Amino acid sequence: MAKKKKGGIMPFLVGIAAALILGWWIFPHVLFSEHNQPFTFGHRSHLEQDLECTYCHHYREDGSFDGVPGLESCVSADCHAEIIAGTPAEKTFVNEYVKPGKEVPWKVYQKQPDNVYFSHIAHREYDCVRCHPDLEQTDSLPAVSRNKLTGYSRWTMTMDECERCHAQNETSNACYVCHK
Amino acid sequence: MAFNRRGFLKFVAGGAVGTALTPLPWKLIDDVSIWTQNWPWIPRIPDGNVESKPSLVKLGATEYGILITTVDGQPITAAGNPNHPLSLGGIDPLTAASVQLLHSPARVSRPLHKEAGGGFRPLSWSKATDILVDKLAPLQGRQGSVACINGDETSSAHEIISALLGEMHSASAQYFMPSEAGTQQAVWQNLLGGQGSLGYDLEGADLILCINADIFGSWGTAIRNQKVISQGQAACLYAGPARNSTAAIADEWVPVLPEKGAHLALSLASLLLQSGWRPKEPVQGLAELSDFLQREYSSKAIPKKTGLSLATVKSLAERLTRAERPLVMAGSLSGLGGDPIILFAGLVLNALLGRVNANGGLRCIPTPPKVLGRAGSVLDTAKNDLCSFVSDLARGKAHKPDLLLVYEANPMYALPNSETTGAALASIPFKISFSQFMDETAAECDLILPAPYFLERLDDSFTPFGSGSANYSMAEPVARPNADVRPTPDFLLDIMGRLGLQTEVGSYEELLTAKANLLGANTRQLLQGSAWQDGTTARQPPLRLWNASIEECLNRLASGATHQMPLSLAVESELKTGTARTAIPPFGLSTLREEELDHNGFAVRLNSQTASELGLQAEDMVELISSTGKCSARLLLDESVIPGTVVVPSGFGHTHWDEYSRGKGDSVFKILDPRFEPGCGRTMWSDTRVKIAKI
Repeated sequence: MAKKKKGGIMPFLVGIAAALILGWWIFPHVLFSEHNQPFTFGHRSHLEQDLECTYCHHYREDGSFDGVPGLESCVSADCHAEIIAGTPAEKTFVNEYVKPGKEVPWKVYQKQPDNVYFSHIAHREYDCVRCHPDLEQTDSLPAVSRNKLTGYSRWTMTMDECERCHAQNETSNACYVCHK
Repeated sequence: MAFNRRGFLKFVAGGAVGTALTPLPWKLIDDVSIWTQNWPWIPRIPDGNVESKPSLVKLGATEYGILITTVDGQPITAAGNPNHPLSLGGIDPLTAASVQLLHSPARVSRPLHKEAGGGFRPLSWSKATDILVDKLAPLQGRQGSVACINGDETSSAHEIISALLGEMHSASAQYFMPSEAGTQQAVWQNLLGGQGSLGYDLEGADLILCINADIFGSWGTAIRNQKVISQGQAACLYAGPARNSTAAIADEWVPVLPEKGAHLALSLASLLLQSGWRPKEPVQGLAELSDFLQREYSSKAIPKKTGLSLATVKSLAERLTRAERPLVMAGSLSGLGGDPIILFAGLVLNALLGRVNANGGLRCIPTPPKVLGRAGSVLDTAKNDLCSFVSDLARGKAHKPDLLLVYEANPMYALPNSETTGAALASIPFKISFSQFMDETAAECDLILPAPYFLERLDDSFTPFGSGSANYSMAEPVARPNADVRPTPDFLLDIMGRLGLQTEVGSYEELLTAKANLLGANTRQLLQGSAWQDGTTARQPPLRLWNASIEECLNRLASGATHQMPLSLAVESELKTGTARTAIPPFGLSTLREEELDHNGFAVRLNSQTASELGLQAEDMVELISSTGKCSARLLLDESVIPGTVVVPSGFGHTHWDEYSRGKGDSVFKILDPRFEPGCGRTMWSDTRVKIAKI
């Protein structure tokens, strides 16, 4: 009788275990696809050249954020107009993008959808890594993980995170603050 | 462990419990909700390199510099250009929708040739060129055999068109579409003996009196006008029949019937002279003007002439004399011309106030330079009266050209008495439209040779009407052509070459560079969005303030309600409903309230007192009938309309274009009643009277 009772709970426990494996391990892998950057880039090696973050990631004159640096930032001051370090990534960059004058199609880790208005300059008092992945001491760029259903990247900030921070800082959470 | 039915159910139950302990269900619900917000047909802003490129708006209304935001070269939005003197960072609703029009379903995507059955057949540019050359070749040397209607008064394309028609011995058959600029030019030069063209120096004025002219809506440099007045350096008074953009913003609004605007300006002139005011600068005909005003605009006659109390008119006159730098801006309600008398009266009033070539007054802008020796002057072309020509054509009194070129214009929709005049134009044997869109005129033409949209072409603009001083702007393409188009000026240069006619420049770009050099402007800076400006004024000999023929014009000016035609017609032009050249854009359509346009049609507005007198109620379906035609509408009661007047918005009633503008309301141009005023040398229709009938 006791044996029968033990055997009776096993399918239930197996079901729980299977669901946990599916929900915590398989599902995230299935839901997200990985996209590598066009070539690798080392933030650390650039910072070792005494470059400030704002040399490449800066605000425009009107206060809007330039975001991903364009070709102009990379070739100005004769940095990468020609191959200087000779790494495979730099060769790819110079030969395939700099010489033809083609912008690098960087994949953005965090991009808000069109219906969200986000101003970087209004949030300038916060450290960048509060929202963005900390890539300062890395020699390569991680792949961008993109949700197959929504098309958003894994790191896209969600509305509840925005609301929580606004509430903690006693900033308005009215709809029109972010949705114009 | 037996895996039977009971075991399976336990497994499922366990799975359900386990699933609830994972993010799967909650994440899926969240993602599916986001997925449903991103259907493929919802427009998305593409990712890519974001740039802001300077351009120059050319949609048939005021022209000024704008900034187009592009992503990877694709235009996304338009904004005002703070560095351009006619934008000052502002933008109008039509221009704000200009990027959307790049993708209008009404775009003509390739050259089209009309077939015998009435349909259009696509053809190549080389074939289209052959057809046009074959048509033009036998017409060389035959005077008046080729006519052109041009809807762009400021572009140097006029020089090439003018040179072509000059070489074809048809120089006198080139016309601009009716406009405030053309009407003012005729009045300024022919009646007053003015030099160059006229500018309005709002920036220097401390009091601006607008009579009928909706200077914040669609009259002159409307966006610059808004920006300048918003700085608060000048008081603004408005006299007009309804609360339009200017009446709503002005410091004071004096309601006046549309046809009484000219009488108000002359009444003010009369009161000035009665008070002993004399112009500081020498003028001609002051004694005759004074006699006439004393006779016709005495203090006793003024209330009847203007519909205002003498005290109100006197108060306006006193404010004008008290101001240090007053400026009178009088013009047609629609901003599309058709009221030479009010322009004359306004200019006379400015001259009496000593405001010609004065700081904050009227400025005599020198005649623009031209590059092509064989081209006619743009100011001379502006004086040619298209309405008069087409009316004569309709009556069989004008020489009918064999071939008509239509550039940046839609005359079959936007000429007064459009049904009759459209039929007259349609009778011309061969017609060519250089339109970007399948508009009413293009649909009637035998050959459509699509021109690039303004965002896709190199073009320029010299001193749009209403500017304060001479200015010159230029813009290069900011978008790749969305269709198989060719720039019309370059195409016409090719045609001239094929016909063996002399071409003084090899390309339109060469012409524009030469024009910039003539002006001393820096082409690179122009293309970066700044404008060349020159405050130099033309020397003005004493103006002729009096002309006996004006008395006849004023006598003919409709003087009030009649039993047959009890209502004055006030045309309202709002840029959100397009212009004479451009139909309502989809973005504009979505800004119209249901009371302005619904499935029953568009709304015309009457005061409730007038409606009651006519036995009408709100929401009645009505027909407006003039001596030229009729249009149907829905009645909206509006207490901001002066009694005795019906306000009819323009821009509705398109029969072609696209689904966003076709069949929306009815066209006011059908009921405009034009008549040639020999005294002014110009066609007038601003005093059109109508009757209204319930359907």
